[in-house]
Amino acid sequence: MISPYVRRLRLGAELRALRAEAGLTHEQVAKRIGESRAQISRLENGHIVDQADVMKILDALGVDGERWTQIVTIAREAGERGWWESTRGMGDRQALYANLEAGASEIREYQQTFIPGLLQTQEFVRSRASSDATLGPPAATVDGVLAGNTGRQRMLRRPGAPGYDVIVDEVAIRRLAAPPQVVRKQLYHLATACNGKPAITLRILPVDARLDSFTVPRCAFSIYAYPDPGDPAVVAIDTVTSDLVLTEPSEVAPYEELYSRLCDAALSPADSLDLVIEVATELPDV
Amino acid sequence: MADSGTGTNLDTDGWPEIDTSVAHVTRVYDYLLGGKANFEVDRVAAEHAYAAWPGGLDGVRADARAHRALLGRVVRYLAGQQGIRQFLDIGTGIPSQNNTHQVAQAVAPESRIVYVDYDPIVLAHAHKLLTSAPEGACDYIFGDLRDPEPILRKAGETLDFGKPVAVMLFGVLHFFAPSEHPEAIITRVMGTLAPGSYLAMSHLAKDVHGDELTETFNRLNPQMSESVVLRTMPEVARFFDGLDLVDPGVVQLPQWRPDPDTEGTQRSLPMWCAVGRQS
Repeated sequence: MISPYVRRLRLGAELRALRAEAGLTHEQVAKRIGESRAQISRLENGHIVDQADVMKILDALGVDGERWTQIVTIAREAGERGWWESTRGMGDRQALYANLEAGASEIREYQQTFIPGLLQTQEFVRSRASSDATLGPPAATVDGVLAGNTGRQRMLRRPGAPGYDVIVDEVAIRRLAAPPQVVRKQLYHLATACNGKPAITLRILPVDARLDSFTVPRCAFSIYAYPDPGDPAVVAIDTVTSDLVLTEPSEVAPYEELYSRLCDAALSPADSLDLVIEVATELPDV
Repeated sequence: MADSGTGTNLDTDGWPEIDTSVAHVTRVYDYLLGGKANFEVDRVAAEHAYAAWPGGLDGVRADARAHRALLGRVVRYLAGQQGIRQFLDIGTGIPSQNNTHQVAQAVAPESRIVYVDYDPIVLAHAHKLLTSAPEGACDYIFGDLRDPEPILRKAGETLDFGKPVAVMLFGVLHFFAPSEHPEAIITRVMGTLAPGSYLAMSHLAKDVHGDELTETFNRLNPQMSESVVLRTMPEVARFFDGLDLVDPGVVQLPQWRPDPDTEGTQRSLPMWCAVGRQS
């Protein structure tokens, strides 16, 4: 399965392109298929998927052959439901990440404060959930978050799993986001996962790293690429209360450049694992 | 990184998690060697059990160092005097300063080494074992000798089984109960390897300071995820059936081809070691 979120955006882009080629306005397409202008707009923006309307548009614009098959396939995939939609209580934010991860060919992630969710131990996840609960009512249940995490981690190990390349700020491995004995095991687990297969590349960004043009990152973000070259690269930005998803190439490009600068400034993968283990051994385990 | 040192195949359901509910031998041994890759459960078990060891905790610490030194002597002997260029090091443990590949590649940089261990704490350190000289190769396999087939299959990607290989089983076989048929596993592994291959082994003794050792492991076994089975010198020698024992045969660690600076050659150390050659 390719991320339905991304397929929906792709479907919108394809429909926009078809209408532009035909030289028609939203109203004209709407009239031809007996729908409202707003419905065409929603389809083109990827806000909804309506396979019947897509077929009517293809008909009305005289699309056939391979292009017809391609767009119908995209529309079908855009309407698929992932495992995360039936995993109760995992939280909307985690479900969005599970959606974006589905079928990705490559994931690049920068984390500022936390160990990446894909590499968290169950103990760490539980501990984070109880920390968050001290600030206000939780948006997800602990069991739900754990189930979501397990599902996402399975994605990383399936055949044809995406390449996973992650940069973690030194702060995220030093500042305790859970009790020290939990973090100690979490850090060993991080090293275990990165020494395993499929290959995960971890780089630690030292606190005193010097970034090209001093472009220190404002926030954590992930960049997703997909096997179909027509699918957009996607950036998801982790903010305090929600996640921002960017798909416009002009908006994605600065994050790709920033990621490459972070890579240049970070420790080598071997030195990064040495540091992770060093920090782990310094922590008390009781 | 080595040309084939791309990491580990984990055909498991998930990454193995470090279990701190019981002591694990690798971490206990790390504690005895003064390392930091251990947890309270390991330290408590070690201090309680090894108080019964000959010479107590200090005694076992000296013996653990002697064990580590033996590994160096054996690898130097095999690489330097017998021209072995391929090593299959099973039960690697937490990496130290002188791991098999560093010792072997100091003699012959083209040496190829495959490490195998089943403890996730060793996997967490595996990158330290993949620092091969560019002329040679290192790989790491997450695996258990109880299931030798995947180990042999994956090791065959780095090692040429048409040429001699030295199999290192340091402090491994005393975790195999007779019902697990360790001799059959050795036969299986050596049967894959070419003539001129070697088996090198160390094993806790039943017949040296037997009472103290029995007491030590009566205390340690219930606290550990693995159980130690002590064996006598003839029982250890039997693992070499069909192989030619290299002089001086089955001996206590400090007596195996000591260097001028080998410590404790006069001390009685309750562990047997031997090296055998396949003809």
